[in-house]
Amino acid sequence: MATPTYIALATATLASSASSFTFSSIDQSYGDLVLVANYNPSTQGGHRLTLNNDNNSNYNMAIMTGFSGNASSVARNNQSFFLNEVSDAGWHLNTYRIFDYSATDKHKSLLLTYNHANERPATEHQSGRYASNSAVTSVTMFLNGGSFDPGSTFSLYGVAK
Amino acid sequence: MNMTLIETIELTSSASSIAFSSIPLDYDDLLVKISARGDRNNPSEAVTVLLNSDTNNMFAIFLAGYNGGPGSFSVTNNLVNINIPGSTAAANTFSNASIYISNYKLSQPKTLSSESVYSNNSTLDWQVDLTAGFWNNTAIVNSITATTNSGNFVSGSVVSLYGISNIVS
Repeated sequence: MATPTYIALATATLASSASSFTFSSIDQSYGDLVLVANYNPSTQGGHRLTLNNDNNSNYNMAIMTGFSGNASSVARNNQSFFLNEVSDAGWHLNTYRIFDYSATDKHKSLLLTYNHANERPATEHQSGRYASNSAVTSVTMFLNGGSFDPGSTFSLYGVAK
Repeated sequence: MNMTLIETIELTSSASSIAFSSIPLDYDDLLVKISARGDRNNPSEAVTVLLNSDTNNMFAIFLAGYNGGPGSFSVTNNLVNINIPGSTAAANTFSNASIYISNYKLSQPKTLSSESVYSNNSTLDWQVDLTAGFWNNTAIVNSITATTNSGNFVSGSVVSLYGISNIVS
């Protein structure tokens, strides 16, 4: 039998609303991480992601967005978190792929797909760089106002290399 | 193992649609991978993907990038589209797509995302399509159907369905 390569490390379904969600003490045995977030924010607001509870200016990203009849792209550098360009309420499906997260000799690359097709439809695709050599041991998603509704799910997977 | 192959369908003759039915409820999310080409007398062909054959409750947002253009954005109802090469596209070119369906068995609206690549290298024509989908239906997803808008999928087209479990072992 082939060796499994896509392993669930942790998962949670919110029983009550929460302004943020964190996976901590992440197993360092894998090559990449995949975070799948299916969530419903209570209000329109920004969507954020930090690694290792790091709020310094270490987050750099290029964002391609389809929203309100237009396709556009923008770069955001030296931010204190990974962010989205489009804010909205309603059900979302975000997938974050964090590469070489356990490495201690390189910055971390990230690919994000952000999908939201009901209230203010948008799709967003982002390449990011976390300017730190530290291994990623925690991942936090939070909102710029409002909270994740009950029923929102967050799943973290490890990808073997 | 948290990502499991449920079924693969490889066409041995042309067909206008490919469907998975009676999808097991053993997983949390679904992943569909498509490798396909069409026989329409055209460089490209559109493929529609439906859940439970429902043509009324799907909303999709497309962000497309293509050779020589700035890209485009559009909103459509009732379908998730991908593009595949038609019969006049370069020989041996197939399109590939990956469609992720979250929480398919929960009684809440379903969110989807899709990434696909289309290439017709005889004219340096290529396209990437990125899609956000929202199926405003609380039913369990028990079938997935991919249908060409005209013509057929050619023999050798392959569609695979994977189940993803988020249960930590």
